[in-house]
Amino acid sequence: MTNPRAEEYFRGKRVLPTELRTREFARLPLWVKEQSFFMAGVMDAELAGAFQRASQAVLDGTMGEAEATRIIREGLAKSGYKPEPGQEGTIKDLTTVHRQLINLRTNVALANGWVNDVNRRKSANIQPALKLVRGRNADEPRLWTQKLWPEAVAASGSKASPDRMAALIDDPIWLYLSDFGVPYTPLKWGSGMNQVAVFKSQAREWGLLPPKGKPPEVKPPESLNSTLEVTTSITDPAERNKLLDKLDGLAVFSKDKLVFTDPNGSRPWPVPVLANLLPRQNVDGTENYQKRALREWRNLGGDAAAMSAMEKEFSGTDLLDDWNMLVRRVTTAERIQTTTALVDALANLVSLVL
Amino acid sequence: MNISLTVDNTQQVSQTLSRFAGLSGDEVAKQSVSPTRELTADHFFAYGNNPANKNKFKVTPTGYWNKAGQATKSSSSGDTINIIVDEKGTPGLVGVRRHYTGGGTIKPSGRISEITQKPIQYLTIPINGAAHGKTVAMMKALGVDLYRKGSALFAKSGNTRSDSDTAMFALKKSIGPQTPNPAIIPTPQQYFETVALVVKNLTDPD
Repeated sequence: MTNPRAEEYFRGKRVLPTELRTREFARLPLWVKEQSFFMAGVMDAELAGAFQRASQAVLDGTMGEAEATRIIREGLAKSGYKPEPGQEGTIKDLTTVHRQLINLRTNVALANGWVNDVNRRKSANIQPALKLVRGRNADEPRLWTQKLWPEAVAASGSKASPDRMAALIDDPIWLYLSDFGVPYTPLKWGSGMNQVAVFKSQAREWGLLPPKGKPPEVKPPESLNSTLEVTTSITDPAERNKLLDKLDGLAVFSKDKLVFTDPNGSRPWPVPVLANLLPRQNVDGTENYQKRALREWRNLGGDAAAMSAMEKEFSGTDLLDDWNMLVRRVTTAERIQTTTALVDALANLVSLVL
Repeated sequence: MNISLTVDNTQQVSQTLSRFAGLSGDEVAKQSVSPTRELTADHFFAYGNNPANKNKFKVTPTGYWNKAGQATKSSSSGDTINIIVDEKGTPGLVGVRRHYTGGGTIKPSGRISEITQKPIQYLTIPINGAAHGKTVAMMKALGVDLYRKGSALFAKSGNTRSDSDTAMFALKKSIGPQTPNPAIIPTPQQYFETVALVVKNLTDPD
């Protein structure tokens, strides 16, 4: 069992020039945030690229922070950057080493946070919850226990207790608390707080899971981002195509909305659309998970009996979740009523994809 | 430098549990990868947050142990779990292994300095809170003008050198030896209990 690598994850990001501030950017879909490199209010792609290269060099271990700031200074000089009047020397001034270091350190910490999040989700069957702990003292620590946590419990729709900083891994409180709109640490700029996974038995004791013998309500699997879409003002077809090219199949336009295709999720799509979606590789270069599940179904016979065999063969694995989401999206989009019709649709998909 | 530990007690757990749950040592190790990482990281966080481990300058902590926790990775190979503090790619995180194992004398590597373009002859040891957690290169990047006087690097307080300038780094030909500190990582018993909890939670029906 090997780890995903922070530096590889970061290398996959694409520079996204934007006028958005961090808080506004945080409202964008998770997949946009995880696949793009942006800096609050920086529209110059070259300049943002310099910050990205500097962060990448630090993550790769080829440069220390001091050396990496040289890349940034060169980028600043090349772009002719000047801080806004009145912002000289402040945290908004990109020429300050302080700002450059905050950017570098936050990027490194977020990349590590992503790796830890991926690993924790793989182990959520035994450690389904997270607690929030302090890992570094601060001169003026934020009021986490007294203010931030209880307020977030009340405002986010969380099922966590306001008195204990712990919640299930998919609880909305993590996204709510994050300045960056991601469910992992660092949750705030320069924060010394960290998530640590909690065993199922402990989560049950803390009331985060139902008592033993009372199984949680089982819902068909639905991906986190299955309904994501953003309204956009981009109307120029050329601009739209340019954006779609950059997003590499992760989104399509539907009227004025940019709709997330949810390649490994549960957003319903008819078979012809899925036939375009499934052959695309994941961002990390691996095979689409639902395509893999579809192949397993075909290998088991690709018929109604194979539907039950999938449940038995892959019980408790991610592959079964992937399979169930594929079945769900096909069933919904094609308005399927019978097993025969479902097997036909899936067989059609096999012929188009595998 | 990385610290690499092998938790080889999964076999004992698996022998006991396999009779009840049919779990192999490999499976127990695989399932324990993330929980043992979490235990180690949590330990680093708690260690760094312990007031007793505050830095001697009593200045804002650099978050060394916080970084160690964030950079902790784990993997499994057969029935062995490997836990690594991945220092590469984590600025300011150097020498976790030395904290754990202690060790002999540290000398300059002799590599070419980015600043002087000459082989490095001295170790630069912060002796002022303003230099705590910073390299000479970082101080320079922050605009601090350093110069050598005797066996120390001083920061100019004005445009020219003066007697009121502050010594930031001591220049040393070597330091050490360092006392081992096994308390920086969890005890074998804590790892054992974590692996046991993994098995308990794996075999514990909802």
